[in-house]
Amino acid sequence: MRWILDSCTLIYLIKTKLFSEFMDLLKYPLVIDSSVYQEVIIEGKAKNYPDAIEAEIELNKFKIPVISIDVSPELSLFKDSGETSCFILAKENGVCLTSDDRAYKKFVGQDILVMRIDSFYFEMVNQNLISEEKFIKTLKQLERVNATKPNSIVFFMEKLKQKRDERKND
Amino acid sequence: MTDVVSTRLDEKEIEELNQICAKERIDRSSLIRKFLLNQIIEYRMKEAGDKYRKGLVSLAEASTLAKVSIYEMMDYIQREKIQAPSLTEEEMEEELKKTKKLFKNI
Repeated sequence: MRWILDSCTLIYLIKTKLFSEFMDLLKYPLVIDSSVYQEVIIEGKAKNYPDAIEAEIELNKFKIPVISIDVSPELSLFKDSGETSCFILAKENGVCLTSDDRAYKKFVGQDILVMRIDSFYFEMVNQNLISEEKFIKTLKQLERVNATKPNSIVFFMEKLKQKRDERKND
Repeated sequence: MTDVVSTRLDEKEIEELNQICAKERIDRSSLIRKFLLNQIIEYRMKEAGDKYRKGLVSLAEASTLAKVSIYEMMDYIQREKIQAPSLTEEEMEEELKKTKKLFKNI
């Protein structure tokens, strides 16, 4: 079992400065593929995006393996090479984490294991690995960079309320 | 390979171009080329952004379609305040169930 991040989610975790905390929550290794590395680090640095440099530092700090994959046989499915590589890695073994609802639907359609980043954090609350307050703060940080949507936040706020009500009734 | 493309501009537009050329210390042909290429990129991002807004492509796919980096597409989406359609409540419920199951199995 391994976690796989797509390019957008990796960038958003860097933008929100949540990457280190996110890494601390993972019980299984995180991997990325060379196409994601290309999109996030190489292309970002070429265009002088500071987040690309930050991402490189974080990937080195946590020694994240960058796996080289030939995406060409499956590229027609996703158009984008980073998403294609996530699909291939998840198909082999792993769960893809994404912040993009369209990408999520496409991964589900291809019958691979995928999770939205919001749901990942909610599950961390359920496992008592982060507090409810921390979860809400995280969602707001993600929303500021477009990594989540108001609908999703409302949905999870309602879930938190249900959890609290259940606790009261117990 | 390059080719010459000509276009007609009125005097006022030419004068404005000349002023920018002087300010930017660049010849007129290079300036027009620069402006034109920037607008082509903008047009591609608009087209891709519309597809993203309609939920037809993901952000990464949109950047591929627009032939720009993911960072540039993110900036465009944020600048133009484009929101892609979110999952419905039913879809989110379903996804949450799957997530719980996934964590149980790993």
